[in-house]
Amino acid sequence: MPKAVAAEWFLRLFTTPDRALAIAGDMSEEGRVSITDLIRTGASLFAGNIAGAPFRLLLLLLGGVAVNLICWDLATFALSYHTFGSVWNWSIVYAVTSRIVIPIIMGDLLVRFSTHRDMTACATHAILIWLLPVVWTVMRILATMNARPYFPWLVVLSTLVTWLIAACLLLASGIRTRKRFLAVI
Amino acid sequence: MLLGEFEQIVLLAILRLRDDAYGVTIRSEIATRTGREIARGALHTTLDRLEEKGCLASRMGDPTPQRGGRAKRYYTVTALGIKSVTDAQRAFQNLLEGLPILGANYA
Repeated sequence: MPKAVAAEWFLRLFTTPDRALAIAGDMSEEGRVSITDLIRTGASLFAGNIAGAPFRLLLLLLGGVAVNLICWDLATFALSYHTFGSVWNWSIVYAVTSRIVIPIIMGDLLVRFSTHRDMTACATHAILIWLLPVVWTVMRILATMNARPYFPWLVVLSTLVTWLIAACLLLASGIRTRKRFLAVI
Repeated sequence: MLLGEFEQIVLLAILRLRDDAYGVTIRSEIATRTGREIARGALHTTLDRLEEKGCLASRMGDPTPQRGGRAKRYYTVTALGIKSVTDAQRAFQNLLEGLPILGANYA
């Protein structure tokens, strides 16, 4: 039953393995392993996770945003003064750390520090790290729009795509760490 | 312990089902008795919450072929759960007492 196996895997992201197994079993018994049913169930579990520990999740998210901002600020500082080399070398370091290394570390840390609500923390953080830079870029462009002859769609699109990749990396890192944890248990 | 309306419905459905309370039967019992079709996710979130509150206990059953080899998760209401639901129902009864509504007098 490949559909039920996929359903179980998906539900394991939002609840404990034994609960995911029981819910996937219920779906098989009722013969209703549909994508809409699965998404609705996942969304309910996701919302339930947030409602169950809102302050802990908020703290985790704020901590994650703080780590990201510190890293961006450090990179911006290094870029502004480019004390240790040319600005192009530091641009690469900035891009790699902020969009690849930090999301991977964040995904790993969120899973380690948010037992039972790990993927909810990762998913909300992934949405945040995708939304913040996109909103910030658009706002900055709009603020300086008078000096521009056209709206730079390419900049917005590239920001959207690169931060989407960063968000996916965070989720993938979270799933990988969770899988390792579950294997130990 | 304060319980929401849906939490009370779930607890009462589990009490009615006795030893056969798991996801499918709980949903079906609620649909039969109340006419409400509830979402699977909403039910499981409520079951988790009630278990965290100490109103429910759960155990895994044996895997069955009709469930693709997956086990059922059986729920039972704890003493705290019974006390909470009876307290909540008693409060409703007290509020209804002496009210001549819908042609009936709740004495």
